[in-house]
Amino acid sequence: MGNRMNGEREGMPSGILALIILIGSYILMRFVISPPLPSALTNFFMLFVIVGVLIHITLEDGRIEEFLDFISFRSRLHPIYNVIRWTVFIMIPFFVTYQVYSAVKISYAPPGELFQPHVTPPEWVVGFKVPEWASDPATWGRGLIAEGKIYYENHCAPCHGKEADGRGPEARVLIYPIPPTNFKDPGAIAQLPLSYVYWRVKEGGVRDRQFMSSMPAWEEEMDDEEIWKTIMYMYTKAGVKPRTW
Amino acid sequence: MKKAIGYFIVVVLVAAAYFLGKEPVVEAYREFPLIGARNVVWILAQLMLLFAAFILAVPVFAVIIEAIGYFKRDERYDRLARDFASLLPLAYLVTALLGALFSVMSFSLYPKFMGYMAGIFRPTIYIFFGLVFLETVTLYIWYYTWDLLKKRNHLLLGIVLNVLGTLVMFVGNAWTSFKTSPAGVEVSGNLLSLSSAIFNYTFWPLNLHRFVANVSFGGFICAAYAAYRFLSARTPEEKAHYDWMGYNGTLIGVVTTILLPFIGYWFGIEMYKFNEQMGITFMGGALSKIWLLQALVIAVIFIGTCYYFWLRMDRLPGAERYRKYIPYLSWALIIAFAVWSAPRAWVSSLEEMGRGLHPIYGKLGIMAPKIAAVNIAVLCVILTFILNRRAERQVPPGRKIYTYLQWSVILLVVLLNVAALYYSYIVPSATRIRISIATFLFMVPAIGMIYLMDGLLLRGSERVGEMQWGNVPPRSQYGLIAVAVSNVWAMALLGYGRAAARLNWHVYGVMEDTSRHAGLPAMGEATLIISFLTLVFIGLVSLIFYMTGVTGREVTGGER
Ligand code: HEC
Repeated sequence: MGNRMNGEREGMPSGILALIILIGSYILMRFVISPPLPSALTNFFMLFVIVGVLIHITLEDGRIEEFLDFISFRSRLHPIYNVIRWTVFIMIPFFVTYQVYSAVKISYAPPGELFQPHVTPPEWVVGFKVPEWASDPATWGRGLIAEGKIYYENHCAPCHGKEADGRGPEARVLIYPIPPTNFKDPGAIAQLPLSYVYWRVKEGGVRDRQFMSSMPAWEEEMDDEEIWKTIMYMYTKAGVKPRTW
Repeated sequence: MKKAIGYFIVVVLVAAAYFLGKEPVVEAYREFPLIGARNVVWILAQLMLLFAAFILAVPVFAVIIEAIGYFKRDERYDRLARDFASLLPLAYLVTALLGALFSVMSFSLYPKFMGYMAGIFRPTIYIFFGLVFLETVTLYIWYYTWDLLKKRNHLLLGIVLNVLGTLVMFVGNAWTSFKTSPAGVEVSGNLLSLSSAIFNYTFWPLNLHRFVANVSFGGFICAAYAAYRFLSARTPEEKAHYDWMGYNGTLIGVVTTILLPFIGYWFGIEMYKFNEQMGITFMGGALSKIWLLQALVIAVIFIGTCYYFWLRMDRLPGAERYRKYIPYLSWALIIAFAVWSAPRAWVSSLEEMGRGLHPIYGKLGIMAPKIAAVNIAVLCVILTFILNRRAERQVPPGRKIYTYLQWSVILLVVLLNVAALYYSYIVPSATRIRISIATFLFMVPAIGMIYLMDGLLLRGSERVGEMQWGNVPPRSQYGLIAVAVSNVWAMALLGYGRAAARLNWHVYGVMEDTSRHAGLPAMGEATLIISFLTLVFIGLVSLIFYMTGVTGREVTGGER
């Protein structure tokens, strides 16, 4: 700890390192990753980075002092580092100004929210019994699936895609609040029991107050048998199985 | 203090008389001004549960530590146990008051529902109050005969106290778990079998989960007390003693916390088994945001605890050799928790929506990467312990092999998790779940191996430097306090989650909530209430700390 004052230091000051990490991770999330993370989520993850940096700096007494000397301009630095230090110092008021500006600026964007892909089903779904003939993927007959294919390609493929990958022609415009599901995704129908999927197809998202997605309700278009056959094809095409436990 | 016991008994009796004498009522709900009936009952119930958790937990480890002291013939442990226990008398009193208040409130605001519950569980209510009474009396006898009884008898009494406490918790858990996963009743709600109602689907998971969570909660709260006493200590001896106490409390807290993800997973699976839709609500549906928040608070708990241990190493003679590893651990933890708390989908504006699920966090949002992250985080905590332990030892020469073995286990864990994660994106969900469970379970033998190797490596080793108790930087103590606060928040959040899984049911699928508070509050509102009651709890506990600090015997000896 002793000879800390005024001596020029070896290597990169931890203050500079901290700046590189902070600014670097921000740039990574906003500009390198594509598509960039939403700004609210970036801020959320920046919280982790900031905490990480603070922990790093406060792990050793020596480092704290070095850092304090850095931000209070007590340590003498290599000219380049010094320029960086001054630049950041001068930038701070501008940064704050910009934050204030963007906070009060009127925005027409819809409010941010955490979207939840799997909403809570209504009560009738609780304890709903899947009809015997449709309940076990191992016994789904080829004929049934082939019939399902026709329904699927007519009704569902425009949005969910012929390949069940969520890339139908209409999917390009239906993006809010969530685009058509990619059924191949391990977090989609592969994670749902059949009763739940049946409900999603039957009642859709348009009428669901928790949800309001563009997924239509099919109960008037299709009878139960057709819905089940479509579901069979959907699973087969996507190459996943419903949750059974 | 005798007066306090007197008050306590009176309160318990009055409350008991109140419930048992209550006439069946016709009115289903009553209202509470300003904040509403639901919130009052919620806040009181949670506060009571937090205190109950504390008073159940502290005797568990106080008795264990006392026993260690007895068998090792080491006075220090006895004093430590007593220091832990010194918080109990006041905490009991507060628990009883809150419990009485809660019962009165819930019976008068939700008469029909509570009447139904009391009807189903009537015999157990008598048992409950009998047990609470016995437990209380035992506690006060146990605490005030510390020096009077022969040590062996005192320990025995402590064990009796723990058995009673655990039974009390079991009875309470029967009621709680019945609301989540009712059994033994007809659809109309009539009781068929009391024993099936008690031993319902989530009864044992809840028992185990609460027991372990209580102990870790108790450990962290005690550590916070120690931190407070450390920061306000005047003599080096006092500082040393409370430093040591904080260390032990933290150790108890974190070792038990590591068990919790495993038990929690079991709880979740039982819930799915009982009712799939409820499982979905709980894990992936309306309540899935709870898990993101949970990840944040657990991050504070894990990282805060490790921070404390890392800071010890800054002052530990002999630790210089290992300090260079710490930044890796800290960043690994940060990244693991960033993954754990990554949401699956986040809509914030049309332009930012891009196309579909985001390729990065959309993939991180499902269960498999989170399980890998939990495993890695647990591994980092274990490594922190190992380094801390090794720092003060001189590793005997010729034992390099054990270090290599240790490294290979660690490497194996990491590789296994990475591989499992990779596979989980290409296999069907049933396999994926099995892989996840396997990597989860693999942690147990892996941790066992790491510790075994450590034992062999350090067998008969010499100490390089003695830990200088009382010499840690004060900021580490603030870390401990932050951990405790965050723990309270976590308990309240997950308690809310468990109850909220019932949605608009008092008793899931059996008795519907038809009051105007039925259904769930918005997550934002829920977190405000959780934060509020955390503050109240911290306030009450600080009061207990303060009063115990004032009236407790002054510790003068310190470590010799
Ligand atoms: C207008 C476009 C559109 C059409 C047509 C459409 N969907 Fe959807 N679907 C969506 C959108 C958007 C979502 C995502 C939001 C949601 O889950 O409601 C979705 C979600 C789903 C889900 C829920 C997946 C999950 O992980 O929760 C299922 C199942 C589903 N669709 C099946 C079908 C089936 C079967 C058909 C044909 C009968 C169909 N969809 C037709 C737009 C559509």
